[in-house]
Amino acid sequence: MTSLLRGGGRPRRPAAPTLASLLVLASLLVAASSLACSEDVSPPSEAPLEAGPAVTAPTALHRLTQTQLNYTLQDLFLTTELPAVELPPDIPVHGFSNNAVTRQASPFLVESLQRDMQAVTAAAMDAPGPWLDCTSDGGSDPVACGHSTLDRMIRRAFRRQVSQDELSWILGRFDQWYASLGFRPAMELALQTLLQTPDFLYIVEQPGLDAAEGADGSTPLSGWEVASRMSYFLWDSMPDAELFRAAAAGELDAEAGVRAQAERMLANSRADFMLLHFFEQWLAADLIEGIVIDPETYFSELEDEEESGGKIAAFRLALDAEFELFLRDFMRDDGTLAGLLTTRQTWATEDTADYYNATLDTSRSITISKFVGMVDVHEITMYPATLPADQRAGFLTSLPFLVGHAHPVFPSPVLRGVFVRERILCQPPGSPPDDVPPIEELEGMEPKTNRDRYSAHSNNPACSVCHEAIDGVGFPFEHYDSLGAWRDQDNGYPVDASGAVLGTDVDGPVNGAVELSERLATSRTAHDCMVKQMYRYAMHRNEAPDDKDSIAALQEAFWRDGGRIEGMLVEIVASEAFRTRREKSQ
Amino acid sequence: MSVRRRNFLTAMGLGAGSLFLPSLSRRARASGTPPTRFVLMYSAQGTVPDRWSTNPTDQPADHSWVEDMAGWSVGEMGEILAPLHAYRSQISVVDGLGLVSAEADGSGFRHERAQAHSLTGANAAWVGGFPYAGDATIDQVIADVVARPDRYRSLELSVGGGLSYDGYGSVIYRGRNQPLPVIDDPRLLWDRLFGAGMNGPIQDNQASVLDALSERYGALAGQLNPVDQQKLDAHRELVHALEAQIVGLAEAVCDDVPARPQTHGDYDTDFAAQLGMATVALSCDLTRVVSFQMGQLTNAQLGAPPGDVHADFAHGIYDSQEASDVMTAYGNYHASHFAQILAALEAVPEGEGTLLDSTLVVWMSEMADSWHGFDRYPVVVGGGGGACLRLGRYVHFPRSTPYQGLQYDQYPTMGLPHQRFLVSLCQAMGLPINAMPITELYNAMGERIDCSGPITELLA
Repeated sequence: MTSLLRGGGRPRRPAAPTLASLLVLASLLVAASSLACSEDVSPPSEAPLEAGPAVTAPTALHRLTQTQLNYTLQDLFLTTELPAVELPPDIPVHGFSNNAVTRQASPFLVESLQRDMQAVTAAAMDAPGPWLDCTSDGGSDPVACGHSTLDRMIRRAFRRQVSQDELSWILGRFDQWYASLGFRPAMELALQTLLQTPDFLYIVEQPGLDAAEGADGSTPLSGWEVASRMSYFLWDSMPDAELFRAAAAGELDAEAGVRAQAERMLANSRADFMLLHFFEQWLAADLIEGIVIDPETYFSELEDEEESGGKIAAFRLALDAEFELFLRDFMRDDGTLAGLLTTRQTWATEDTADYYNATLDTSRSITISKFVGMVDVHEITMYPATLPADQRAGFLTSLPFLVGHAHPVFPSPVLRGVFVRERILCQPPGSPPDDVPPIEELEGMEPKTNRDRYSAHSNNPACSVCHEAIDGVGFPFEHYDSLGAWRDQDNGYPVDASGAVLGTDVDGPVNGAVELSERLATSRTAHDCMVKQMYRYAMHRNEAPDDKDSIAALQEAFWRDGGRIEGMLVEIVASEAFRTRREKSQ
Repeated sequence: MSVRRRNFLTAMGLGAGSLFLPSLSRRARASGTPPTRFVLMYSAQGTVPDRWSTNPTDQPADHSWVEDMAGWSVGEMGEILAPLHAYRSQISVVDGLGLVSAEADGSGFRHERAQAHSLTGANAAWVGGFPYAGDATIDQVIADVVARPDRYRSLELSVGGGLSYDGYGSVIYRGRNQPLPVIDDPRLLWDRLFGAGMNGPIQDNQASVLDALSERYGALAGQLNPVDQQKLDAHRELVHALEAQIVGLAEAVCDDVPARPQTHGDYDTDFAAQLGMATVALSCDLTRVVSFQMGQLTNAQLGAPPGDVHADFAHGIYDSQEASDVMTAYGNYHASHFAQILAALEAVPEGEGTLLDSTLVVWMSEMADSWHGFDRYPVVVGGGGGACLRLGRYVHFPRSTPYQGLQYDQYPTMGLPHQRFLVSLCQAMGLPINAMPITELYNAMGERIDCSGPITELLA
């Protein structure tokens, strides 16, 4: 059960297993299969960066998210056949659950790590791959095998060169365990230890050890540190061999080298998954899991609760799958913000195609089955779908958005409008005034349409200031009911989908969500907002006043580049803000 | 407004004698010992005040008064609290508190602001314009003192997805901006409490893994900036605590462990399962502090037409009979949950009494009423602690705090600052705390409002 109040809902666990069940992860494995960081690499050069004008806010120490941990473990052990680490959910800020503000370690977190790393290391030792220098019984020289394996593993786990003290620490522990327990337990315990170190769990940066602090209080990062920042932002995982090589060669100390690596990394399918996780959080995909549809209103033809329950479960599954497939195709075919807001291509089942009035391409299909409630298996088949251009345009007219922002009986222009203001325009409406009068009091009459029901807000002076802005971009969605299906009539009356965009560079009256989406697609305000959202995600924190110039430069670049999302990722990674760290505000 | 850190009176022998309250010294003289366990039930939407409070003896509303509930009939308990009639001598009800500090702290976000203030007594930590809790919640303050270092410090449970609306996940905070994640799925709770795998060299040597980690955290200390260091220090302390917990839990013996639940998603089934496991965990001392975050009830549970309780009814309690009826059913439903908690604890024999005797059980909610008001904030406290807490009492406070909040009836004053209740809970648990943590507020006229000290009518 999920509350849909004010655009809210429970965060979906960003878990690798869910994804893996829908889309093939094999590409991850391929990309990770060149293990080549065992040779000694010299420390990166220490060429100082040229001092730029951009100032950034203090860095937030980042602990790997559950998604990042699972991907990293797969890359570390070169296999996808590991039990998933499941951590307590993170508390999102602005929708993003990687924000450092609320991610202080908790007892349950530490306990979960300790428990799950036992399972991970046991599985890794059950079927060891090239990461282990011998068989899992230790082979002919177990101590030598343990030492050489751990020597390599600690550097890959810490994502940098290690000191002699650090190496002695883990080898010494291994020796103790080996003496009393033998090879396999000693190996598992040593690996568990590595996987719970702060160096592995956090993106630890040690400022000022070998770099001078700039006049603005910022210090350049080492190449290793830049590599970790890049790979965890662009891939949600650890650096690969090539990125380690670039770090060691000092290529990441200069902007050009960072750009070159970023371009390379974005061509890898790991970046697709990273973007999907970003979109899931920015576009509130977690709401799909909690959607509730009133069967009496929408599925009255169905016999009983069981039948309607199955229908809704399959509907949720279809929306979940559509969200991922839609974004995957959109990033491949277009990849601009404007495209996101205007494309008429998506994926649908035969059922959801009906709600869309879509044309299906049945020559291609993807069949997805999933356990629901651990009891029922639901299977759906998705087809590429072309949507009617006069009724649909982009994500804001997609079922995953429309259904996620509706009540079980009535669609909600408020939830939809607040989403547009908050997530697309970065202009969150103030919270409701303290003295919200009940709608009933204002009505005085039975509302004829859904719009009537909500118009009370704007008619009341106390509410109207915010609601003009919210409803102006909320009422244009009135053509879509709680299932996201198109309607020309509401309760027997013609739908009025007129609204107005306020407070942007594209202000003015608007009629319907197609016109609204096409308008927003040309808006500088919307483009600027997406940069700000990505910046929050990349930096693991809210923007601060000190970030103003950095963000403004990125926004300008994004706008000039035609809103190309991958281009924005490169610009963020290449920016001063991303490649340096600040200890305190100016 | 002035905010002071909590006053640990035991540590304040130096010049702080004046803060040593009569109630404390009185309690110190009492022969019994305070309860050792604490259970919090926290529900959404406040209540329908007129149908929650009661006044069978027709006492004046504008005076403080205390009534003994022993002789009350079901009807006299009030509509919403009626399910607690059987327990009326084991609970006390406080009518007439106000979330005064919440009114004074920013604007908007009334659900979230009330959540932050009601449980902490502190001002919210506003991050990105959103009010997160600004200090530890009451259960965590109590856990600081009563939790065993070698067991689970506390269990944070939720039913129906919990009740922080915007997906923020939890209303329980270890400290400022430190929400503690909840377990909503009873199967996960079972796995955590009772699912420890087999023994073997790996399991038997976990303490040495954690010891190795402590060493690594230590080696890293001093190499980072203070803010990062603080974060890692917190993690390091948890690793250290886990080491003690692993050793301690290995020695715990739990009888009557329930079977692993098979499902997740049905509100009442989940609650029963969570409660059953929490009761076992309390009885075999796996933990001493448990909180239940009760998620939003649905229209179907309340027999209301399809829709959304909050959107359809909650705001309308003062304007629509139907809304008032539905929200009364809402409160009633949770009163039954509270009764179930009392019953579950009472069913476990312990010493010469029951588990309930050593457990302080509290029911609090977010706002005072579902119209978003903060005045006449409803609380029920019960269970053990007879040595420290007076039970069987109905305590009424008039609206005599000179602060005007958002009140439907636009009354110029509010009830007693709720910090007083939080302080009472601490003192009933034997904690030497006299402020939670706001000590005073000022209204627009500059008049001082005292928020410190306990509710003496509640303490023995």
